[in-house]
Amino acid sequence: MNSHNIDTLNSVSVTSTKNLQLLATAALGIVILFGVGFAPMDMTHNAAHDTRHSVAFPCH
Amino acid sequence: MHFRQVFLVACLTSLVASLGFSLYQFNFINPIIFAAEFYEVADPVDIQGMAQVEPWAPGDGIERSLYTLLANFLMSLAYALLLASAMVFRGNSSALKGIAWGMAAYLSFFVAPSLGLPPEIPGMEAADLNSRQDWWLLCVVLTAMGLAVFAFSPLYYKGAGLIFVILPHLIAAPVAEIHGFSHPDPAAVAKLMELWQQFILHSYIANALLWIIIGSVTGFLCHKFIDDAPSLQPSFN
Repeated sequence: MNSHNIDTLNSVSVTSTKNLQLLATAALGIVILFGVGFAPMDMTHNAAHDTRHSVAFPCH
Repeated sequence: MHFRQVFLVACLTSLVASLGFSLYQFNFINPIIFAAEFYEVADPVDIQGMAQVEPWAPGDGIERSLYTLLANFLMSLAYALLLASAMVFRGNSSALKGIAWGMAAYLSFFVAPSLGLPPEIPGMEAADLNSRQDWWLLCVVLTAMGLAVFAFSPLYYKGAGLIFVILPHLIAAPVAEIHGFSHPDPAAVAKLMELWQQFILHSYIANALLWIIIGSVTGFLCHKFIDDAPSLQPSFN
């Protein structure tokens, strides 16, 4: 395998790890958003009540 | 590497954004929520005539405000994580581009779902919660996809973006059989209607403020700390 091929492989893996990491940060965002805005437990709802109303998440 | 950078950018952004949003909310929105709760009709008692056990809720005053601050921070963090991930994926950000991203997110996360499900104050009759949440999610995802297609696809396909944006409104948001207030006193209902109008206006302003801050700060920080970072990509020579 010549050095050009190795470079190409490195470049592909760097790009794919970047995309994977961005997917992970977006997934973390979705999990937090679900917890604050949609989790059905009464305690979570009551704690985040005023925030849920203010950003117009479906509430009650 | 990118995970840590995006997470830190989102944390800093959400600190600033939740502070700005909370200042507006505590001055203009929360007083309306509290006033509406004053008129909220108590839950009916169960069949045996025993009052239902109330679940835990933060006590009014400082405790409730602290939980709201925490929830505002987490909500801003979630939004900032999503926006920063998308901006870094596209590359080349700036504060100005960030504002454009923020406005697109404001349209996707607030304006579009609010057209079908207007912001509501406590005490309003509304359709089934699960179906409203499902429609909200559908509307946000389709609007964001539509705006992305409109912004990034070749001219020939831009019309498809418009279809995505309109689709959730053709499906239509779930509506309650009786929409409005369940309070028996007409004077109270008139007061609640007035509070509701003010609430809608202030929530549109507060969310615009939130997204302008999230967009501009995320754009600025991504430009400063992520775009300019030395590339890990090996050079071809």
